[in-house]
Amino acid sequence: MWNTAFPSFLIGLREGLEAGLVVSILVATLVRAEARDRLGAVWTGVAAAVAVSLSFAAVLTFTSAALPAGGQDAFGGLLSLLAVCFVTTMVFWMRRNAKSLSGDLKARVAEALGRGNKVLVLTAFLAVAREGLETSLFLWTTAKSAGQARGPMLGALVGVLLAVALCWGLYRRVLKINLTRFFAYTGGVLIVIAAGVLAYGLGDLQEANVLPGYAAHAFNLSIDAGSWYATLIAGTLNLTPVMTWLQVTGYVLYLATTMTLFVHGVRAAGRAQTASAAEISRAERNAARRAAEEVALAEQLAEKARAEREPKAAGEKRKAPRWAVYTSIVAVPAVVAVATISVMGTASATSTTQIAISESACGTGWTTPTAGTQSFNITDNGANTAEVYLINPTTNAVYGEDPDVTPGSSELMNVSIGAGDYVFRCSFIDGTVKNSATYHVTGSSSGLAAVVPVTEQDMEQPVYDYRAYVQTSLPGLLTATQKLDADLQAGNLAQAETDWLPAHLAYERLGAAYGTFDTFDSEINGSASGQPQGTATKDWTGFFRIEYGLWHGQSAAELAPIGDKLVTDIKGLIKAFPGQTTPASDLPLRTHEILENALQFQLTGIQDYGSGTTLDTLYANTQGTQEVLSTISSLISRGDPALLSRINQGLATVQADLKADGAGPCTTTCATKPTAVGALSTAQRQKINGDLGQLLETLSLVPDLLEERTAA
Amino acid sequence: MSQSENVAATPEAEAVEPTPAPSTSSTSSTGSCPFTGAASTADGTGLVDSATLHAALRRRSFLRGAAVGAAGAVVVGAGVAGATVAVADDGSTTGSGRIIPFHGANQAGILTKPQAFATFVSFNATAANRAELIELFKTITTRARFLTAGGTPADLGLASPPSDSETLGPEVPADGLTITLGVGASLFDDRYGLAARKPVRLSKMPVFPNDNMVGSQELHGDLSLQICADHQDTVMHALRDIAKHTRGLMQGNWKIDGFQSVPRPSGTQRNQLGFKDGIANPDVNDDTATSALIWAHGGLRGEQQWAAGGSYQVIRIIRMLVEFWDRVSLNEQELMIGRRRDSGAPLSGTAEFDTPEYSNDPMGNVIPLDAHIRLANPRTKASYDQQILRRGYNYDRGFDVDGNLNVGLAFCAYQQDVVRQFEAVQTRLIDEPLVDYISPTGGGYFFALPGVKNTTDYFGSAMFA
Repeated sequence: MWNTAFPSFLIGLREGLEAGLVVSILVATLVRAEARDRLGAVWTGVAAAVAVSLSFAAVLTFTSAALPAGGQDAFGGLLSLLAVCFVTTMVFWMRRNAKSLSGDLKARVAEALGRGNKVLVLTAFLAVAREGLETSLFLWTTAKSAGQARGPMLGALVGVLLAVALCWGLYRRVLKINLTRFFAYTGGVLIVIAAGVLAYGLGDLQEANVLPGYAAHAFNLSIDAGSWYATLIAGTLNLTPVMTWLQVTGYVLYLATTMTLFVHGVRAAGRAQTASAAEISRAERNAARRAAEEVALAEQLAEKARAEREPKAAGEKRKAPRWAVYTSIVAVPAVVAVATISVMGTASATSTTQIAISESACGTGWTTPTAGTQSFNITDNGANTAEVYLINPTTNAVYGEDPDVTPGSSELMNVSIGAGDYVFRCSFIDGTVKNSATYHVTGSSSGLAAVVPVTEQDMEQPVYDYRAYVQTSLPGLLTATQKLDADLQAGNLAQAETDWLPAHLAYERLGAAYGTFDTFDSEINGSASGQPQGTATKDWTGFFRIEYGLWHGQSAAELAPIGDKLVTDIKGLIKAFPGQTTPASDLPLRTHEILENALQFQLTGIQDYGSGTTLDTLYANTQGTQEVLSTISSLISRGDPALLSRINQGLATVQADLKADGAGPCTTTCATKPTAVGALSTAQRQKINGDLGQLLETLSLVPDLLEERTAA
Repeated sequence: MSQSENVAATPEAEAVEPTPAPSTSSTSSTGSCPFTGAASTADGTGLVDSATLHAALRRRSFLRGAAVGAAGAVVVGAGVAGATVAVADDGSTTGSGRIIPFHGANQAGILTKPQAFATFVSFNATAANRAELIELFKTITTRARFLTAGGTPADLGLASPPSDSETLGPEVPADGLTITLGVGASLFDDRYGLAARKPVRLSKMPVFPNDNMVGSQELHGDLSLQICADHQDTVMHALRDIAKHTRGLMQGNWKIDGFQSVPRPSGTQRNQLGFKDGIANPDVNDDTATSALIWAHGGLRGEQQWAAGGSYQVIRIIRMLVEFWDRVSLNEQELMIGRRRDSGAPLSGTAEFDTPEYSNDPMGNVIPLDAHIRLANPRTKASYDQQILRRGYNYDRGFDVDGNLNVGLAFCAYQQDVVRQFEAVQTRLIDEPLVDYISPTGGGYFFALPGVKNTTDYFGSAMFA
């Protein structure tokens, strides 16, 4: 925080001093002119200017917050460039005019006194507002680049207070400062800071795609951005470990030209000063002359002031409307802010919080933890890719995750969170696991429920259970298939048609989907779609091949070898299965995807090769889904207590639809006349599809809920 | 004959390439719809030659480059209706940003000036009972309310697939979207206890003598959704979103997508016969006319009280046999329609919006008695209240099995009384000369529900009350 406070402190001090000097000169002049009663006008101008500056800061903040992310970057970038212009102009202007400032002002005060309070107010207002607006702008851009507001605000506040104290001291003549030297030194430092702001602004514009070359990094120092030196440099100089070519070029060019000009100017002024210092007498003469002038001026002013007391009554009458004018001056920017936001329309209420991670410090930078929708831009300053989680420190439940943040790059994490305690957890690929400090989130917005992470261990039992189910089911599949094969070998095709379905469904009930059982699945249950010549393909085998032959009048002689091959393949599967592995993530995926497949291939009748039994297949698939589901039901209930009953209800509805349409469970004997999908009415098909679709929407939650998050 | 071939063979390539096409500037001036040469070629079905495509692409990239500086201004200006053209042309990624209010006494998408793209979708209700049907209507309301206003889709957290398809990007733009819900006669059977609530004029669309509906898979339905927007992807996104949220409650039957053509060179859009279509629509800004012709009134000729503010919707998929049509002489075409093809002026007049002169022409010497416009709207006192509000879109469905263009008009009309209005007009049109060149192949009658009045109201609330 202290590092980001420094630039703002300097700005606050300088701008405060500039404005303060003007005000103290105004006050001094009035006091000497015996016009103390008109000090009120000066303070009115000062107050209005301060209000306008604050209001301006609000406009910037609200406008930016109202803009979408890209717009925020562009907006911030442009303002950064503007701030650089202002600061540069201010540094040079002050150096040139510091000396003549007092005289100029006195002349203006004289004029102001001559014209009444309005001009006096305006003079004070303009003097302070000018510096105030600059401060607001600079402060806002610094706060934005720092990703937090507290440091810069505090720095600026301290700076302004110090400036006020200095001005008071100068006014009371208890203090003496070489203002020229002061402005020269602080000016030099400010130019360095402004160069950083310029680089930052260019980066913002590149990020917003206003300028090209966002990805063109000039360097990417693999240093920890969370380290003290990185923080110090980033905070004070706005330099970051990763910079683009444009940023570096802008930084160097600005710094080189501006600093050269500035130093050159200071030296010239210094030489002039040395020369004049040599002629002390001349300086003294000047001082004496100035003092004399001031006295004369004061008398002149007092004269004018006295002369003006007469129309004072009239002036007071206009006081109320004047206040209205001042109020509206203050109010206008706020109104503009509201108008801007409403014109900009769809504003995302979220602003992005910059979060830094590294092997030494995980998840730093969340300065204002509040409830609601949060957008974190997580930057990996470490040397390794990391999984980053936002978790509940008590339950380890996960609210948000970025599965791979690579070194030097940033990833967004969007979460909706309520009040409570939160911790970032970084799990680096090298094994380093780091937690952030606990963030206490306050606010009334409610968040989304967190996901209890599922570990590898959690999945061990389900995988064991599922494999046990397959192991015990495989012999039944073999028996049914051998029966079918025997029919084919015996040339009894009618019996083969009857025995085909129980064997096929025994396979479908295993809950195989998407390449389970390695290549055995395509040998045993491959469709003609992927075959080079479709149904005419020579080496197409399996249940669908036999179905096609049986229901398309092919001979027993043609089908018998395919029957044998099918039995061989199933025996092969039985032998191979104990050696095959079932990835843990398969089970949640399969719970969802078996029925996606069924909707795509069975309910459409695409996989009907003549038997008209795809509805029975679909039913068998619901049973397969139930088997897989039963292995992970406790994990589902742990993660989302209401989900399991919704799934079961959906499965029951679909099974009831299928039964109503003549399909159903059959193990050894099946309905003699199955209902083909094509025989259903549109209403029947729509009903099954609608209910199955609804079930799939529900089942689609399972893979996300049970995604393995061992590192979380 | 050769004229039309020229139009087809040398498409917008020349008109588009060197300078922004005249059509584009006229589009901007009327502020109608974001249709460009580039956009319309995208609808082609392989008929677009590569020169056209390249020309269009070059133009787009040129515009995009030139528009970079003005991008900010465009985004701000997009809130103003009519800025849609600029946004569509510069390839903006945020949609038109045009918000058409969802709440009101009547549904949006009826009087709304037709957006560039539409889909008309028929659904069957699969809700198990009345309570589920009400849930369906409430869900459609909620989705339509969100989609038409645009915004950030709901965050469902880690334990769910994302709530939105993101086909429109992370922020859903309003993009001039309207979602208009209708109910068909079949919804009022015994399934949901609504039999006594059927709008009195609502029936299954009858087969008219020149229709070709035999074996049609695109007829009727329990519900209709008309989804219109400034861009085609916005239309599809809305349909997909609604279908996802209503799974198990309704199931799609059939759907016809349409596009509006830009005024060429000005005025009303042309249909695929090359004639301006919709010139004589009732004035949607005239409350007297819309009250008398478009909105149903509770109690009027026995109409259901709940139906007040709704409107009968007729959707017809009218294929146009354009190959045949293009082989017909211009004179014959114009006599069939009753208007000049180039200007849209009635044969009795000189300008598009001239009123056709029938009283001076009782024998049909100028505008034949069986000309389409004369039969459809004889402009007599008796035919005043038979006028319908047409809101049709051109459609393109590739080729038929024989390789003929399967294109036509997704006809959509709104009216107070489908019998008094559409059926009277359609009956007069029976056996008009034009029937040889068109072939109605599907559609249905629906009743567009009264509007959703406020944030607590929902579609059909009065119907279920």
